[in-house]
Amino acid sequence: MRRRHERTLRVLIRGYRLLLRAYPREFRARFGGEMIATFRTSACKRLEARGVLAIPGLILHNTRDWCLSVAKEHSDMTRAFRLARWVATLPLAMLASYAVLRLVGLAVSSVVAAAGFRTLSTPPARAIMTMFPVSGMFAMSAAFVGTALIVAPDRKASVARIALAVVGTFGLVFIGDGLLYFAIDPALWGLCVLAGGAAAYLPWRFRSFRRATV
Amino acid sequence: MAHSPLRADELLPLTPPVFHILLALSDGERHGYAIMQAVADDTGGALALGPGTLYGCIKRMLAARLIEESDERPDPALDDERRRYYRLTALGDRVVRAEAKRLSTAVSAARARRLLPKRA
Repeated sequence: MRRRHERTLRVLIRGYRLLLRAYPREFRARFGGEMIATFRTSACKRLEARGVLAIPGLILHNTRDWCLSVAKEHSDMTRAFRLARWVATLPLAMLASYAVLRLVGLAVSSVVAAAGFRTLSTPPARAIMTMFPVSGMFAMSAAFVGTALIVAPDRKASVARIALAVVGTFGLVFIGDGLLYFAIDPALWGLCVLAGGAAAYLPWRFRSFRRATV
Repeated sequence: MAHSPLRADELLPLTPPVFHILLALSDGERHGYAIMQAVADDTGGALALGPGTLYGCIKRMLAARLIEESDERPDPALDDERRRYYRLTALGDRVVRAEAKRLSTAVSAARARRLLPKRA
């Protein structure tokens, strides 16, 4: 490349470096070096082919690209923050739904007991089953599915996924019950539900996020 | 190659830059500038990606596991250190095929309605 073009190229790259500062820091840290390398090669080829006449086109093309991509990258960051907020509020939402489900379960089991049906053969003292008979489990299951459908990012959540969510939740609950047989605490109970719900819910959320951002 | 749980059709339709980047990588791994050139060649210059659009798409495609960074550099001696090479993943390959099929169906429909000339 001719000496005069080398100087022009240096100025252009310095200008492009300044433009890069407008991108989010994470994006710049990951792709900034590559972007400069790509810009350098592209500018170099154009200058070699058309000389200084290539400069206005080069500046126009890259400025337009910069305007569009800076806006896009910042909007992606906003979306990532929205996702992070969702993840942060999930435990609270799950705790609230746990409380509601518990009440619904107890109400249903009381009705079932009042109607004269036996709920369960006598379970060991202080186990979860004492607090929450089978009828309550069914009510909780129905309520959990309802909640999952309401909070699911797309309403097309399949039956298999919902079943997985319920099975995951109850699986963890019973594992928790087994482990904490003689020291059951509603808080730990709730943690099991939380873990099951989060395990079922977060993949949905991330899949939807990935799909929306490609 | 790691198995990806996403189905290819869940990501369709693709945006034109994403489709053309995948198309460019279907020949083999390339670095950013080579992708830009391949896209410009494939579209007859109609789609000229700038570095911002290109690396924005690359970032999202990496996150969606459509592409991955290659560890190997074809010729390290001749290459700029900052350059990274990208290649399709198995999911990326399935997605670009599915999108090509979808576009081909659309072209066939346009042909049937005489919006495009019939093939010789």
